[in-house]
Amino acid sequence: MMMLGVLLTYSGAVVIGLSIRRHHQEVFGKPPARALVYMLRCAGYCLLVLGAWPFVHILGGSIGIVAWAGVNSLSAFLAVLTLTYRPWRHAPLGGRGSTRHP
Amino acid sequence: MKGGVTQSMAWAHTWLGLVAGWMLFTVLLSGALAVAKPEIDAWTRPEQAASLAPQSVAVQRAQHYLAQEASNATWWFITPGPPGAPLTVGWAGAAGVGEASLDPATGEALAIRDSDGGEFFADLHATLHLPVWGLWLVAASGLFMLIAVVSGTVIHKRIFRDFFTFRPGASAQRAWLDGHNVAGVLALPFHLMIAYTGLVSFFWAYMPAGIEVAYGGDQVAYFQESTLRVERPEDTRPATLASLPAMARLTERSFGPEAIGLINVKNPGRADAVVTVYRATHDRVQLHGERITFDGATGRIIEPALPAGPVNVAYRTLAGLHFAQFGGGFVRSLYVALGLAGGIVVATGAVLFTIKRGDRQRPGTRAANAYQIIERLNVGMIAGPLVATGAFFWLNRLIPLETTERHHLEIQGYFLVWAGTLVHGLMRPARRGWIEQLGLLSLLSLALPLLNLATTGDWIVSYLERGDEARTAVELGFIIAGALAAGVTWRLAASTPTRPSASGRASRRGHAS
Repeated sequence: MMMLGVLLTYSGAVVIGLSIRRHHQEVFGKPPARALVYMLRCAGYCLLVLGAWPFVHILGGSIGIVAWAGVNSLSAFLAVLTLTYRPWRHAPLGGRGSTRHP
Repeated sequence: MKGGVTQSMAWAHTWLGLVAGWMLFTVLLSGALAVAKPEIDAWTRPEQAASLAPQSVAVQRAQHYLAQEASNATWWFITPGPPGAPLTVGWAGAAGVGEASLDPATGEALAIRDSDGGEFFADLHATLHLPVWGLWLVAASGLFMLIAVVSGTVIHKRIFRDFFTFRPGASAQRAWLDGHNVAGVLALPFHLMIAYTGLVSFFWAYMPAGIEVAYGGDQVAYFQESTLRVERPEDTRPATLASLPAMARLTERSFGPEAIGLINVKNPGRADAVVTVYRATHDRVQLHGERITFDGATGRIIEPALPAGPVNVAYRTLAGLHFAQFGGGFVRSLYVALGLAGGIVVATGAVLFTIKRGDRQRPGTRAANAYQIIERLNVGMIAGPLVATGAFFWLNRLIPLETTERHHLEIQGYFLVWAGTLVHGLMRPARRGWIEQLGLLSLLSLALPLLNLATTGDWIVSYLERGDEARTAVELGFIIAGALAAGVTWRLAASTPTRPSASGRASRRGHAS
């Protein structure tokens, strides 16, 4: 159940990361369209907020929010590592990949 | 004017960061370890095998023990702990003070090695193991941390665009800066929170003006009034203390089952005895639980659990956020990870300082020499406390059990090793210093489970089999720390020693992936 919260916040962080031009280019091979940037950001933040629910559900309101805030930071950190070292993993069918990671 | 603000912020960030950074690193590292105090306590006291017993049984054993061993004391405390934790009792009186760990099921005193365990790191975190002015030094570093976090945010102009940017393959300076920014920005809410709540928790020491004016400097009077301690008229006639387990059962109606955090008994053998039962705080953010006060001689409730005032609740919540007594192992592991992220920010910042500025100096000049000394001090001030922490755990297993003042020796060992790393760091070229000390750290950490196996017959595998989560977590921590240190050592040793700024061009290093 807590893993669900971690997964939600982690996906949120990755999706927000993909709204950034450089990372989008690395994964999908082309810069994102303007509308897509807003959609990715919106979806990412929604996932982050949704990620609070499992923690609040298990740990209660106050502790749940504190735990969620901490998990957010660590999920974002994990997302940075993924986007840095394994960008193609997020692309559908491997994507076109980046030039740095043949 | 914007450039002016950014520049002055950059100045503050750079120089305050360097001055406070060395101290701050130790404060953050020991703070992260202090959060894991229950786990570290368990590992540093391997004899401590607590059996499962309900709190009412534990309280009964504690009362029996204290009545035999400390009947003349003026003050007792009992911490029954959650099921599975040892039962700790303590006393103070004319005959002196004492403390004992008991088996909660049998009430027998456990022969436990004399070690400060996690308490040492809590002390290092709060006062740097110094007299009272250590508290002020830590306060100063907390204030510097707040300034560094805010000024760092201001000078980092493209904070959101660079949010996810980490380029380990870029130039050394770029990679360090990215690491510094990523760890700093992502853990920013935690760093702000922990620095602020750390300062607020000890406001009575740092900002005593209010207490000075309102209470004429009488801090004891302030604390008595703010916690509304129950005062009773003195009555020195001897009286038998009523049954503590019965009082514990009465508190269950308000607190729920197994929710006692602490029991305080004032004047246990007298007619004016007062028993205060505090609620455990593991299921709420606020520090210090509600309490119920009993007449010790009769066992009747003098004061039921009262709701705290708004100011008190605010203080308890802020202090509770800092001390992280809630949410169990999950929340504590988050605090440890985010605290160590703070350590990474400071360490990378200190390294950046010398990379960015030291390389601009012409070799041989006085400035270049000064930067070289800073660069070498970085080794002893950052790798040093890490190595010393490893040594502390080694000493915990190596110092003979019957040694007098054993816990002092462990602490002296910590500081001696740290002093040794400072001297070593100054004597060696900075690169070699980092490689040798981090290499030593990885050896010390990775060998700790084996040392444990050799000295106590237990290690991570037997802990895992027994389901001993606390000690497994500590040994897992040793292995992770050792692996990370080995990884950094390996990368440092494998990378070319020339700096990119010397050639004016980014030297590309191979990817770890």
